Amino acid sequence: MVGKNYQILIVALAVLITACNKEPVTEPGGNTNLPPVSTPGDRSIYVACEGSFGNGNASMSVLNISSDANYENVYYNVNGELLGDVFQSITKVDDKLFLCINNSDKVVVLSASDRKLIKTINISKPRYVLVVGDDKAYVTSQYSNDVYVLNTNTLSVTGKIEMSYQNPEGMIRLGEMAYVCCWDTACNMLYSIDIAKDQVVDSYTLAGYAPHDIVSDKNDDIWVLSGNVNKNKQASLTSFNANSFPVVKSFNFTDNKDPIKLRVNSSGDMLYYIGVDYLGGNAYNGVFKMNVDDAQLPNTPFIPAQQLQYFWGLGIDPNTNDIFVGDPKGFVQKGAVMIYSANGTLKKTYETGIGPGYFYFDE
Amino acid sequence: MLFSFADGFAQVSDTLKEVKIKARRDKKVSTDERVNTYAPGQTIVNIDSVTLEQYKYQSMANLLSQQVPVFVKSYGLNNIATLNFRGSSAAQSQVYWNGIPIQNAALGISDVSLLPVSLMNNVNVVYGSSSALWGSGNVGGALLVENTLPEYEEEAVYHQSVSAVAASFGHYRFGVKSQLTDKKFSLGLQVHGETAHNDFRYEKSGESLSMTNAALHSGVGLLQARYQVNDKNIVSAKVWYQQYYREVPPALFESLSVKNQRDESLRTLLQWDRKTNKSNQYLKVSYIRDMMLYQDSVVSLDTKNIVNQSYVEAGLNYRFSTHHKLLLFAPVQISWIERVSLNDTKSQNRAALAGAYLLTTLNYKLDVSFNLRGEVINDLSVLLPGINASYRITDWLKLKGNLQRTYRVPTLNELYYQPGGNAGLKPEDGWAQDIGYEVDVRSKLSLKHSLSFYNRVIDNWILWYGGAIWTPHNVATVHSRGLQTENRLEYKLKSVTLRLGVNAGYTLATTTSSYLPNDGSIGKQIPYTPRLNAQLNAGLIYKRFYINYNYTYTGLRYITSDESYSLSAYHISNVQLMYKASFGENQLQIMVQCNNILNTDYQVVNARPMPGINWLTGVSWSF
Repeated sequence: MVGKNYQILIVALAVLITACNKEPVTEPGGNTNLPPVSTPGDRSIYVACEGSFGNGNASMSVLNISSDANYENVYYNVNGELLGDVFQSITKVDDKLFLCINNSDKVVVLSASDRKLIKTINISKPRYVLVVGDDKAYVTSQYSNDVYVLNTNTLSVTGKIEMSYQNPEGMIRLGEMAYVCCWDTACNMLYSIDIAKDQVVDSYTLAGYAPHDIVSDKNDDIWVLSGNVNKNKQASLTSFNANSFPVVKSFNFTDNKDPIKLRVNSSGDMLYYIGVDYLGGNAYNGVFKMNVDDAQLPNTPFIPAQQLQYFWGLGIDPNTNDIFVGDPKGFVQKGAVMIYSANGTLKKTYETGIGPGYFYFDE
Repeated sequence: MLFSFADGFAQVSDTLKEVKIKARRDKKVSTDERVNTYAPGQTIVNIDSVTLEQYKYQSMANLLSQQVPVFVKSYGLNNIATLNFRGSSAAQSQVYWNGIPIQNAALGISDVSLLPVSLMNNVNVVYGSSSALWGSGNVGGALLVENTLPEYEEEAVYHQSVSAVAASFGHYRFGVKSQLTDKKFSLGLQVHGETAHNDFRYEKSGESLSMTNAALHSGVGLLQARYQVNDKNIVSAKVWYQQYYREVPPALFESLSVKNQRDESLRTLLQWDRKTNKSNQYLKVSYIRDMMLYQDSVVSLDTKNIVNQSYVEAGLNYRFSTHHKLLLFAPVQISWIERVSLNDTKSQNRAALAGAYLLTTLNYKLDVSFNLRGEVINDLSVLLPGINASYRITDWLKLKGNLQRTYRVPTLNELYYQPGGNAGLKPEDGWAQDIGYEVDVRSKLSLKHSLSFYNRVIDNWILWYGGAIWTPHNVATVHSRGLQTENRLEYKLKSVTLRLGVNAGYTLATTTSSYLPNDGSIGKQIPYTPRLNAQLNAGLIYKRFYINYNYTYTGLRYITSDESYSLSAYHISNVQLMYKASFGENQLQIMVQCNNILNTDYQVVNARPMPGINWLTGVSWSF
């Protein structure tokens, strides 16, 4: 009797052991509609959805405003794999899209027409891509001192430009110079890079430490937003013209106000930024607007966040000046994009992936 | 009562002194009277001594995930693992060591992957809320672990044992255990060291890779002493020290990881017990210090957190008669964190007066326990009532019920962590109910079956939100309800015992209201709460052999609060073999285990791959 039981057990175990069980694992939800292949005149607005840090659920949403269409998880639905962790920014270079996937240490290059993967470029903690030539772009890299030089044709790293401080962050191009922020709490300088030589050639002292966002206005004046409130560096906004430096205009934020995501409209006369309160309070929480000629910072939000809400993504449509605002809803669920007209009227809301934080507008 | 294949094996074995024959349901399963006497209506799962033997070279996380219907949220082979009882969060699931709360006072959670099974003699899982007996934080359930020493001997008796383990992925473990017992004095020392590469194979984007940065090095020691002062008074002391260095392997979305974590814990307990015919009195004094170092050179992160806890509890258990029993106790707990980076200290003080009264009536068929606790936590005060009861309809059928107020104050991290702490958080608060029955038929074919339904509503549920900065918020009301069943069939035929055990839990834990604008989580299952999980044990005992097939099913888990992302369900099969041989006073034990025999590719937590088929062999020699 015992022997028979053993035989049955051993046979059963052998059957189980010889089997091999492979199962799919992570399954993103959202609609699975694929955006149509992009054609000339067909204008897409790309939403970089960061995902929840440490969960690898970054995604790309694509909005087509004219057809009122919203496509989620576009990268996953086209390429059959998850994008990675913390989708920081997206930049279009010719017929390619460059996606900086920060915590996955990669820049993902897609075909802009069908969004199929072309290549993955390994770059440590990439943040933003700036086009600086026909085949050349700069990529900033968090936690390093380097700005990577990228050949956008061969999709290879051709060099590095070493900065004096860590965390190269926001960049703009003006003429033959690129201006780079270093989001380091010890840094109160803005650096210029000669694009032809890929060398740092000059530096400009700012009103505050930890510069992170930079834009230029209608006068080619440079605006730099600095600060890291969580590391006791109060925020400030500095404006100057590279040709007339050291004449600067500066604004200091008080009381731990935490401005992020500095943007400018297409005519270059209006600045926008998010005042963020992670506790979701009402004191300084929403989208703020400021004319470049204003003498002081705005005190009340142009678009206020609601109680327990804060905004994370901000973009100004260069064609319409509509204001795109990303609501991450705590980064624990799908986010939303609200579209406001330039006068602050809510026009439309779309559901997106988790943590909508950056917008790229097709021309 | 855990339905597994253990009791019989213990009963037919020449066990070591420290391996007790497992207690039946009506016997004492703990040294804590809150479990033995004052929770007749609660579901309590006792892990028997042979199951503890079976898993003695592994962590409590492995044991619980394979044997008990609780979801163990494991971030991987070399990473943190926390408990989720019936849809509760990790912070709502408590762990007690000899009655002392040992969850990290800052985090409010316990990493059960750092609880070695080999140190514990009694392990009980208490399901359902019982804040009145166990205090703030006991929302979903509690894990109770205890160390005991052998009973006194007329003459001095020494027991020694050495053990060695070799397992897959370069895993080795060596341990020594020594005990001395005489008429009045017992002394025990256990130490073990462990090292592992954990370089298992896993798949990433269709490519087979070997896990990197996953090494483990640990050392654990437990010293216990007990002295019988006279026939009424006993004093005892325990000192438990352990250190784990763990490299944190890369998640699937990471290109590499150089993260590492060192957890160091010192837990001490000094206890006095006085027993008379009618009463027991006790005093417990404990100091616990947890230190965690976390480094990630890629992002220039180097953090050191030190958490201290002082705990004192005095109690009186008085038996008026067989119908009336009363327990009164007063715990005082002071916790403080040293924030090294900010060079300051934050603290939380708790003091409580609690009581439980057990009424046994209707010809000993009805047991009713009335529980009440008044607790002051810093500036907050709260009254926590509860009642639970059992009624024996027949010899083989018993009904059970439990009604409790549940409560959890925010942890030190939730209040003060920088950046992101939210000093304005409110406590989680609600009510919980259980109702169920137990069937216990004993004959040549014995059957044990239980089924319980539970229901719990918690307001001001605390959830961490964030991207760059994570911040806890009171966000919602969460309604948890479900079914739990435990079943065992046992058939004895001469020297063979055949057994079949099935445990299962079904949990619906949904957000019912939220303060967050346009919250997509309403009506959705809260993250990392499988609706269904189940375990099956099947096998036999023959003389000194023990073989068991274990199967676990863990249902789909949502990883976002709006059910927009999910992780697939998975099935894991394991086989355990044990053999014991006696050579006079000496004993040899050999153990072979094969885990994940189907080589299932699975993840418990998103993007953290788990190992495929793996082996563990262990040998111990007792003398």
